[in-house]
Amino acid sequence: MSEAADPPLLEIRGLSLGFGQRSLCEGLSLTLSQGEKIAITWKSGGGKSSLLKCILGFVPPSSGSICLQGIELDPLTVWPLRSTLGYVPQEPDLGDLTAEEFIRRPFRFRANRGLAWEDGRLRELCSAFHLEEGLLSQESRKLSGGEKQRVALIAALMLRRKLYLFDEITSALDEEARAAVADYFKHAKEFAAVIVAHDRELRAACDRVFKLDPEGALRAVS
Amino acid sequence: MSTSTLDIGTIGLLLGYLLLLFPLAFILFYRVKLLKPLTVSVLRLTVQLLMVGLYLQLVFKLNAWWLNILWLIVMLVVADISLINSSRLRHRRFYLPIFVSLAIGTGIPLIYLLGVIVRLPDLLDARYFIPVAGMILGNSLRADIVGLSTFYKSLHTEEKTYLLALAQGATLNEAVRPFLQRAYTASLSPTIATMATIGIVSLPGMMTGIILGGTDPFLAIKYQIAIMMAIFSGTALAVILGILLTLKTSFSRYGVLNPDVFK
Repeated sequence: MSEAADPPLLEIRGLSLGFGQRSLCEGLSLTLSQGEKIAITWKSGGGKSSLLKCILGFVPPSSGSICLQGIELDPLTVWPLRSTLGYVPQEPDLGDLTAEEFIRRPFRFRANRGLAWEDGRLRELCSAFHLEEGLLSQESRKLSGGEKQRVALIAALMLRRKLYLFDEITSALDEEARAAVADYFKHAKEFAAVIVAHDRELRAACDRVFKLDPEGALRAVS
Repeated sequence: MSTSTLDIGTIGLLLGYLLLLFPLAFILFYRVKLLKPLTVSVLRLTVQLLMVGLYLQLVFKLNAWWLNILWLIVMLVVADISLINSSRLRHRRFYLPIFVSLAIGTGIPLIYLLGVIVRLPDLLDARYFIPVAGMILGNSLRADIVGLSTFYKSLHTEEKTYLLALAQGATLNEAVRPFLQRAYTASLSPTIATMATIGIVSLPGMMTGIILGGTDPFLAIKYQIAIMMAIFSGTALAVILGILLTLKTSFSRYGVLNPDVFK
């Protein structure tokens, strides 16, 4: 008897999303498997963050469904499902914490208590994204936009999720750091990701690239 | 030591209003927009206190347990409405949870103070029950306004931080914890500061009242210490309950703050 195939990490079916009269996407469908990374380009101000927020359950869709690991997102399943995801917003607010406190904070949440803290991985990620380890003890408010983005990225990757949602995570980085992030994504096979990105290098590191056309449908670019 | 308090005559009371000449002069000179609210407030204060004075004379005379409880309920309802109006939160959603938080925040320390500390034979004796309840409730009200406003306002302005915590797997209670800590600090700090300076910088109204009534100052101090403990305990209870009891109706089932929480 053959084993049933694992359900896709993310399956979006016929998703329509909009605010009032304004439609952001219509009948969007998408499937993402283990280790796969897709980039979505979006016109500026087109509500690019809303699709990711919809997958997280923060923005309700007008129609359609979202399944994570074969489980449909609803008010009950959303809570345990969020703890299987990683998310980095475009302009992360790290609050009053130091960078390291911010990275450690999710490990205190009940849903993440089974996760092991790995010092080695923290150092490895700092090195991969060209973030000085000395910055970890600094108050987050004193960090630059690019440093905050990398701290938030490291915080997400420390959780070793299987699926990540990244929203313009290189928008505040310099060329060198952008290249470092793209290079890391190119070689990381342990997670899948939906990446909203205008950054060409980051898009090039993805398996598939989609563009949202003016009618609100996803069109494969490469 | 004299055991009677000197009465303030009608003329004496009217002369008291002359003290308002200083603030009025500054308000008019600097054109501060406080003339109308000040006039309304002074009129309200005078009418309300005169009415309450007459009512309390009757209440103390009758000393009926049901009337005392009814009076406490009236105070709670007025405090409830006043709190919601002052905190820019939407009425309908918050009436019941805040009423419950104020009732518990006032009731528990009140019963403990009168029953366990003072050992009052009749717990509902109007002479103790009503003024002590008023003091605890008044302070809880002030702290609750600060606590709820700080909590929901900071959640609204720092929604990104809150949503990121949810996205990292936090439960609703875990995600709101930093905002709750901030609101709790903001609401309790004034009472903590008052406790640190009481007796040196200020002599509280209750203690002054008892001393003016001719009681031994040391007895007044013992009452004041007990009442401060009750006030702080009531404040802490009312604020935390006010936040926790409003959580359920203030967020969607997905954990997003409902925009209609605010007016």
